[in-house]
Amino acid sequence: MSIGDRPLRDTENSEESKRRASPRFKPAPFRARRIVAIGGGKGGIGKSLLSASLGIELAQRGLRVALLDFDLGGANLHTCLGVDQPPRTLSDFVLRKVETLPEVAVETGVPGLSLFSGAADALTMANPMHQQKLRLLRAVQGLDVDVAVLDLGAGTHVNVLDFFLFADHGIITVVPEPTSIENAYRFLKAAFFRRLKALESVYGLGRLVEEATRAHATRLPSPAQLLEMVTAQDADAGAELADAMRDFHPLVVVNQVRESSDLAVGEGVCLAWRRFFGLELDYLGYLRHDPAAWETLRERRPLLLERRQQPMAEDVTALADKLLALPWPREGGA
Amino acid sequence: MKPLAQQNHYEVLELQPSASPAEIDRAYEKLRRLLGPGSLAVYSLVDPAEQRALLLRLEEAHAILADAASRRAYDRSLGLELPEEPEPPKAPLPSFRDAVERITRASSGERNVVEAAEPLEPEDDALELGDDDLLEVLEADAILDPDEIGLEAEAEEEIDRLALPPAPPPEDEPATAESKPTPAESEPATAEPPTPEPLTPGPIADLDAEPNAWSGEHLRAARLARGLSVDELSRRTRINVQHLENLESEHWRGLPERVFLRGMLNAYARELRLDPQRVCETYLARREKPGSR
Repeated sequence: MSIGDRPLRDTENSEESKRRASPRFKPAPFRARRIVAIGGGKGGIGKSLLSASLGIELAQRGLRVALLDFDLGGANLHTCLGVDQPPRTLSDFVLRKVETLPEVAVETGVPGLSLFSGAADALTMANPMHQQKLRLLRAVQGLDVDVAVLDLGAGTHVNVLDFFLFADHGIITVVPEPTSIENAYRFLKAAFFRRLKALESVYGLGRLVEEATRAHATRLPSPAQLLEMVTAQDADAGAELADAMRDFHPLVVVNQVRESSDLAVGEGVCLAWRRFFGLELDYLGYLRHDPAAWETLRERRPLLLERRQQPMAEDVTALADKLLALPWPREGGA
Repeated sequence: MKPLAQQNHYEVLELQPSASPAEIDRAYEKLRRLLGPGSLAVYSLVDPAEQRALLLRLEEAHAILADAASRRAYDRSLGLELPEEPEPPKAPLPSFRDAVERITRASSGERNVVEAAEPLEPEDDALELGDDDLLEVLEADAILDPDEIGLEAEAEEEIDRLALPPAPPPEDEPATAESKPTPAESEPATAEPPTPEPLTPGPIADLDAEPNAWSGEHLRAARLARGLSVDELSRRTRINVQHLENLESEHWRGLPERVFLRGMLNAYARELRLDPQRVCETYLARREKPGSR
């Protein structure tokens, strides 16, 4: 983890701070209309297949879609799409072997869908530096596409969390088994606390959150407990924190559904998260287990292109419908 | 979400005060099933004591609300207007039902030979993340500042209009004598599939723009845009007419305490297909302004 990275904010009197304070400062206009990140905390649960399938479905509806393999140390989206290992990857952009992100894009054979692959080897770009991350995310935001889908790696590394939080819609993928559920909750908690950390510096909640956290000797407070403690000391800070908590609103997809009882997992996770952790989670939908997905993957022919009538294909359609029905994020710049 | 100890029985069961007996039973059963012992959804999230406390609370809420007499007394204690006849039960989420039927048909007729899922990606090692790791996340520097990336910081909540076709004009309600099922009936038969519940509230018909902050005047305008009289809205939400009028005219003295007022606003907003959270927050903020009481 990059604890050693310098703090993001420079001193109050830096030139950068002054520039930002200027009323004429405007963030660079961005084009990617909607950014979706797909994570889940555990490997082997079908994140990449979901990302690839969603990318294909959206492109086939006429949208311009960028599919980005943010599993920087273990990229395999190209495999899900039946595309050879591309000549340039996101690592090349991060390491400045190419200067612009569009140079990394390769065609996928699906009109409107371009792929930005991750590194070919596991050692190269697993842990980008802070400024490298910023540059990458700024470039993603500047892509001239309708939707950018970020396939995140497994785990709860702060990079994965930051990419997840950067997106307009963060999707957690789970499968109906205890280890996946457990890892999903770990991921969500870590993402929430990472979001809280960002807000501390913005809203000055740092001291209050730190005190509230230290007050719990044996375990970290839940967001509801945190809110209560912060509000008790400072009502305005509590209101800010409450707003931030409401804004933390990930989505859940249940993958590899086999039986009707598996369907309850999605609804149950959202309910449990709200009741016991005090935050909102929305159930986007599910993907039924489909052995054809594995077969076509092995043959490197994307399922959605091969067998449109299969259950999983129908489920991807339903997910895309719901995703596109979500409120559009605010557009910045000109 | 309020702490459990501060929730009333309706909030515990996540129901509106106008819920029918069948809805109360369904809500209780669903919550017990999804949050109770053996549920996969609560694995690792809650300790046994917390879970037991919630289950006891669910049981208590159900016991009171499932009995007509105790429910009436409880409603009176909350200052709620008592319904003369029970509300017709709402249809369940059709998409969920359809999904269950599809899965059931698929599993009974097309059981796959393959018992174990083929791994679609290489598995990673199991993750271990305890509180120490979470503290490390909290202590790590180098937060990604949205300004640095180019995103505008969200100064206020903004809900864009969904890219959906406009809602049809409100139709007249059928006459009250026509279609009131008995309380024993569980589901009314419908001629056509009900609209699936969207992930977010639908658009408001006939309003030029959804206001950022809801005042009584805005609420009245929304009600009129739906073609509803105060009496009709009172009938649908079980909120008495005087309270509705006080709500719309912001006659603060004539309105109950915040916790009950929030319940009213929720019912009001849901009936008009507005965003209950936005309505509650912004309307209640008006009440808290100096000089408003």
